[in-house]
Amino acid sequence: MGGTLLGMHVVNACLTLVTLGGYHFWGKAKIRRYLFGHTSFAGDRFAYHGTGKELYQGFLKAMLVFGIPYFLLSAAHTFLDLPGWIDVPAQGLAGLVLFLYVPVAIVNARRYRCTRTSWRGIRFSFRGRTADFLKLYCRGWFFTVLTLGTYYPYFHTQRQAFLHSHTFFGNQRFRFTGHGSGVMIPFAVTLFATYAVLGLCGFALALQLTNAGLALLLIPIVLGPLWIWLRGQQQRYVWNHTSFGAARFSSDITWQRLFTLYLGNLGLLLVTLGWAWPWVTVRNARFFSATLSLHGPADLDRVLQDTTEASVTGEGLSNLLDTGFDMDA
Amino acid sequence: MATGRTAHYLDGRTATRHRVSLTISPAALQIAMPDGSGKEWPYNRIRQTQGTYRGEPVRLEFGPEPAEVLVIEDLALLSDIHAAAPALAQHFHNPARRKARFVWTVCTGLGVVLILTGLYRWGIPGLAAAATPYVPAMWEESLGRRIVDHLAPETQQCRDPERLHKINQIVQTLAATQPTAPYRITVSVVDNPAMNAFAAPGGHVVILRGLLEQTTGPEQLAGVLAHELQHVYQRHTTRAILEQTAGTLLLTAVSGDLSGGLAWGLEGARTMGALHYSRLHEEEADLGGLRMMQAAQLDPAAMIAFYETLQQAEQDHAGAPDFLSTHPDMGRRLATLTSLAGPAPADARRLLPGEDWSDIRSLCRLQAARRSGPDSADLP
Repeated sequence: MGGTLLGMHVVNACLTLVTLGGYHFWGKAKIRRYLFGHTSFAGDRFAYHGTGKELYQGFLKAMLVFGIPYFLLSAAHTFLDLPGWIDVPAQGLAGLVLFLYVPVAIVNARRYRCTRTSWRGIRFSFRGRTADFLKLYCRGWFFTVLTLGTYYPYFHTQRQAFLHSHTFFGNQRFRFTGHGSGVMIPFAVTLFATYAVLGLCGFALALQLTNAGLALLLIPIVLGPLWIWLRGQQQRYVWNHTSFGAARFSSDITWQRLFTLYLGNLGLLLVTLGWAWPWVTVRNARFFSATLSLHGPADLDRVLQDTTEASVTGEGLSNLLDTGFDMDA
Repeated sequence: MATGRTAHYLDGRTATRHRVSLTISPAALQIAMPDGSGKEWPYNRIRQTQGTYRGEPVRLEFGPEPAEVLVIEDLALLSDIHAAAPALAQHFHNPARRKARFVWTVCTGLGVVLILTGLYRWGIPGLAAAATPYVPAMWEESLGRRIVDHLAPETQQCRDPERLHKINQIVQTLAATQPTAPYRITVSVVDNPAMNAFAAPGGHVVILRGLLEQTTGPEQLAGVLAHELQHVYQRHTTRAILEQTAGTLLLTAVSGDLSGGLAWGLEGARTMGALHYSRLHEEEADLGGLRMMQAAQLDPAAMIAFYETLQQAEQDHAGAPDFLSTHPDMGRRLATLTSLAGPAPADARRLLPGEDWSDIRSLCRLQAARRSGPDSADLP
């Protein structure tokens, strides 16, 4: 599968070059169709229905709404001799555009991608309002900064709750019953360990202790596995608290499995100077499929099609800075 | 008429799967539903959305969205349709052509390598060179001002109007060989011990004290300045920006959605490309600088002599390998310049005749000495 994916990328690269970049979006849709078609759940495969034309239109709209204003605001001083009283607010405004872009892109990319994804012929949909997510996002970052990061697990869970609980499969909704406190302990352990290790490194370097550089090794050796453990805990928590009808999702991700996956991916990428990327994609997708399951009566036969049209702008927004949601988000 | 293929049928309205059996007729796919009813899908109205690649089941869709769907695990169905209705089945994937597709993919890969090599060697530099004349000189001047403000702030500049005027005379002698150029060339000297000089876009040349003090005569400084002025006249900074932009766009186009590990490799490739173009610009500036010296009736030997001084200084500390350097190998540069310079011109012009060069080149130290009191001068 990785070999086929590599071949598809090669063909896409050639066509993109020949069409001066125009084919990029069609190639992207093709790759996505392939990846979705090779992802199965409960014995049935997903299907992707998005098209290159839609992705291209989304990109153009995103450039118009965010890309060009951001570029003009942030790069104006490169072309014009602007006085400080104009340049500084312009830079601030550019930062604001970028900050607002992320949540808008997350919601709208999810909205678009859901409506273009089907399983057993039934489309997914996302019905959360952008304004609500924007409020949640701004409030979350405000309190996260205010509490020096302590609020982040609540914010993270609220974000997932919003995204999951506004997602529909046909006419039935996914539900999320988690709470920020659920991942509070793993997050607190990771956060304080991070502060401790970084403090220790800073202390050793500041005092120029013998072999102070060795302290820096603590970052990959201690913090690497610790953050992977936290990520595993978060994913488990989110999926274990997501349900569909009377059935519950269950994730059996462990930090050891996640660590092995990441270590393997890193090794593959390093050895091949990055060219093993298609195999890494396949490994990630397989890992996600293998660790997620649905238990209980899902009553899939009662699910009815209920399509809603989604704007393609969101997909373009996600292209712009690559913040599109992952299937595990 | 082939029969006996089984499939899963999805009606597009519910998530219920129905096991159905298929019959391939010359004009349509016949579907026998579990309840005994039947459907007929004409081939020309069926869309194949999966089953083109190995490991995929065949997915056929029919009708407007939400479409009816057939999922067939056995790829042989497609071969059967092609055999039964070759004219109507052309839009279906043909499994018999998979080997040919593999060969085409390998050929395409080779094509990508060739296209990239061509663009890297000729396309990007050519495109940048063609686009550069359309960039307004005013923009370069604005960019140059910011670069100079940042790298050579006024507080670090050596201010000695009399000696600066003499250095400026050297600059203007060289600039006079390019009467049609749109730039007003200015020069400043910065109190920095590094042996370097640079030309900002738009025409501002900055000489660092370390370099100025190593020159043994105004002609040697003219050699360095001729090289730097070529960067201005040949608009190398603008070209570098365009080359980097084109390189980034090219790699983005090739990489598509790839991210993570490959991005590191691509970033490395972009940097290597930028270094390659930088070395090309340096060679151009050497060659143009030599021609400028000749046009100003100056002896290029002075330029070469100072390059030898630079080479000596380089040997005192290990540098990066040639392919990782912004500048070409100095030995090679010297050999090229020597071969192009030819014999010394009989009527070579002397710059600043009757002036004491060791006094002029010490303007920064003189300024520092004046600041710290008349008794503390420690001049070479």
